[in-house]
Amino acid sequence: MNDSDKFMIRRAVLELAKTGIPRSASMDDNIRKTRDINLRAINLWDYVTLIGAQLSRPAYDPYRETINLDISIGIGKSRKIVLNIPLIIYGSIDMDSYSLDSLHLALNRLAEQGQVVGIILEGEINTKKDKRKYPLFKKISSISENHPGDLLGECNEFCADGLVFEYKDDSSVDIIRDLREQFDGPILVDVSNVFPSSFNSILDLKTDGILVDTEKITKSSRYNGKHAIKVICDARNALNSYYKSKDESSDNAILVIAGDVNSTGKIAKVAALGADIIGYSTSILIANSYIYSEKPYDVISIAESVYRHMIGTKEELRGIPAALGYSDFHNISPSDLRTSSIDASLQGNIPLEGIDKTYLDTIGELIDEFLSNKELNMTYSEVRDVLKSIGGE
Amino acid sequence: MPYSKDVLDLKRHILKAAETSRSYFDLNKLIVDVRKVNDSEVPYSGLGARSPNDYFPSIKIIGSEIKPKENDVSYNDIDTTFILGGRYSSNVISTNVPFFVSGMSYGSLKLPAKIALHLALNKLAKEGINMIMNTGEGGALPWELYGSEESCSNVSKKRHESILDYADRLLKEHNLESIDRDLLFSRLYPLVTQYASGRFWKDPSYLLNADAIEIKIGQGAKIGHGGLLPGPKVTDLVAENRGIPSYKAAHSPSRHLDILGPEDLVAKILELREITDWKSPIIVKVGCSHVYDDIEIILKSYADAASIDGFVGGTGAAPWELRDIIGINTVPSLIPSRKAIEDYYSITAKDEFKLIVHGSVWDSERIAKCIALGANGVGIGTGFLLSMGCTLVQDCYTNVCPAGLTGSYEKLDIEQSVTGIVNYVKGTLSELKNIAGSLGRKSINDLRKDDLVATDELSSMLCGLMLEDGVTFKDLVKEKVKKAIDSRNRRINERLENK
Repeated sequence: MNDSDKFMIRRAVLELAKTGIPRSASMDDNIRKTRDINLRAINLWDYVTLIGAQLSRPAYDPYRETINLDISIGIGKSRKIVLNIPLIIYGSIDMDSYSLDSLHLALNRLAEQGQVVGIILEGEINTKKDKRKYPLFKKISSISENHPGDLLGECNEFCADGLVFEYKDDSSVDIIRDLREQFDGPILVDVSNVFPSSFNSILDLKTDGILVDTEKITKSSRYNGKHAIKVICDARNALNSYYKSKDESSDNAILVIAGDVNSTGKIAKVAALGADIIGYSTSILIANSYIYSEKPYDVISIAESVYRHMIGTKEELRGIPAALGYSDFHNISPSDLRTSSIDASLQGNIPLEGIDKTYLDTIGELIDEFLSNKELNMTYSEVRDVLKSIGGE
Repeated sequence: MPYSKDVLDLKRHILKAAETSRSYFDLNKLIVDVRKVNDSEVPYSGLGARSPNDYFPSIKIIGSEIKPKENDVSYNDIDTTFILGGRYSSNVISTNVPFFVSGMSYGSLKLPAKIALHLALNKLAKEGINMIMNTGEGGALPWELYGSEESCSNVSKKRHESILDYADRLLKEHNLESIDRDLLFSRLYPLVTQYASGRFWKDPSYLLNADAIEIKIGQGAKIGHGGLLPGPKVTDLVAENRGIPSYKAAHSPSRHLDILGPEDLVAKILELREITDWKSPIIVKVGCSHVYDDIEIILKSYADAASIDGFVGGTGAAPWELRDIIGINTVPSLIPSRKAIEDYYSITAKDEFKLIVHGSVWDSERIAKCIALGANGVGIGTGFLLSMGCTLVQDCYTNVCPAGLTGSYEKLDIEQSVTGIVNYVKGTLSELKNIAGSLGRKSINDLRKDDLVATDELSSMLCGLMLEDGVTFKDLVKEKVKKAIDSRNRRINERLENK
């Protein structure tokens, strides 16, 4: 039940339980009175749910059956990296050396137990390859105007397993091409500065993945007022339409979504919208939280906390595809999503619950009905423009 | 368990880290992260999902009154009958209450709460208010099943003695030895036993002594996830009732191991029909997700009724994240359910099939809205807990409940709880009669969609309801389209003029 409504609901039932006589107003009358105030705190993510498996599709059992979370990064001749949890630790949160060391210990422990999680780091990295058992992606930026050779040298120095290259403009294409020739590990390109353009030219360079930071993009003028749902949906559509025209459908670049994804529920929704891997910053927050504790420099305790949190998250993640009737996390798709918000339906092309059609499809069907009944007289281009305008384009 | 100092400290520290880094963080989920850090386990929560839109407040019943404005008006003669069974079962349950107690098992609820419900329903039955109770997944209590001589004939003498001995130990353990046994061992209300994926019952009398059987495929709070009773709640006596080890979490399979598709459901129902000699009505319960398909399957099986449980449907324990992200709300689920039923009966003669809904229904107006939208009956769980004093802290998965309902049994006042339940039922029933009566209906079952209006576009669209100002969704779209064409043409003209 809605947090803001629940005490009104309780009051209403208690009133009946106390007196046993009819009340003067129903609980819905009272909820409606406060609704305008409640609507201020809308977060579209809360209006999106997944549909579970029941009779028409039986569920898997995460306690008794194998549920796959593994994902491989790297296409074509690139060296492959396999993550056992589809998360890569990444976020625009500063870390001190204690936090970084604790993450290193936690990720190593996870990797030793066959729970490989990746990490993306910028700047100097003090975790050496020989002591590291998890994949590290070094983030480099074309904004520094460095020569590709210098950028690669930086990566080799830190023995990065993969690269995340921040795309700036068309000049970045040459740098990526050079990096691709010289680096055999996976290259992910962060397109957040130019999104949604340049997808095709970046994918033509055989990059292994696209990284999209929804937080950055929704703050940009191009996506002003739009939600992360719209960004993810557009990113997935761009990737799909690129590969639709190619024959290499079996070996596609992956989509990494980063931003405000900080709960298991959101990870599942983002994956359903089309993300293959999710940039996850909560581990960094947990590592950083020890600054405020009584033992801020106890790296082993911090690492233990990060480790335990990740194990809990992994167990939650295993439960979700199972409950939807899948044995593989990566089978979750947009068709598993439903929404109780017109806005979310429009932005994410998500079917509305109960009717299993998007808002725009329903409007389209009604327009067809108006036209066939001659209730309205419209040209094809008018219909197209009207749907675009209702869709907020 | 209450959160330890370590957990609360950690919560504060993560919050500070989030504030300092100015990163967005979901405060509602902060405790989930902290609990994972604490024990690396999947965090659970109790009661229903956090749904920002359950539609009920966006739907109004036009011109109805839950309390007549004129003091001398009485709608006592309004018919509120609900009949279950008769489609395939030879027995029929006829009650005068169209709402009933949803499945809440012993284990999930502590014994005093279960006894309060039992005594309250007996008291109501004596006053002529006959309400159905569902046992929940964890098996029934001795006095629920073995209260009559006839019911004892379904078990051996030795087994009956062991059941009575178990009842004695239950009452002793909960300091309830002074309770009147004659009063306790008389069940006057219809009982539905739940047949879930965790088969927590020991002999066929569990099925034979009940008035109806509900096959639980899933529930709204944890769709696709089996029943769950956390270890600390599996006390010796709960474990004995369920036939499982004590203090170990009881994870029921997420699906019936012998029901993997429609044909298995038919086979299972036929098996239960054979056991009960085709007497007991059989309900099939699903969590709301693929509602149309699921109802279609149930209709084509040998079931007497389908039961759907919406996204906000409650639970004693569910994985927190899973509860909050899987499922769809009750109101939009009613529409495809009704459509599946109408489609089925468009080619077949109508029979006694019934649709029961659960989830986010707590008062008379919501019950009336469900019936107007096509439900025949409504299951209520959390409403009964609230009437016994539930504080909605949602820690039902622990053994500590501030109201003494799901833990801390010594705190619950059974007598007061019985009064609360009886008043809640009577008040709700009176209000329901007032709603139907004030609309000029003779029966609550005469409520129709036309009695409802929507206050927003989405509810109007999903439920096919007229908006408050008398406009239909179709009219609204037509207006929108006309405006969009006007604005488009204006823009084109302006562009042409500028050229």
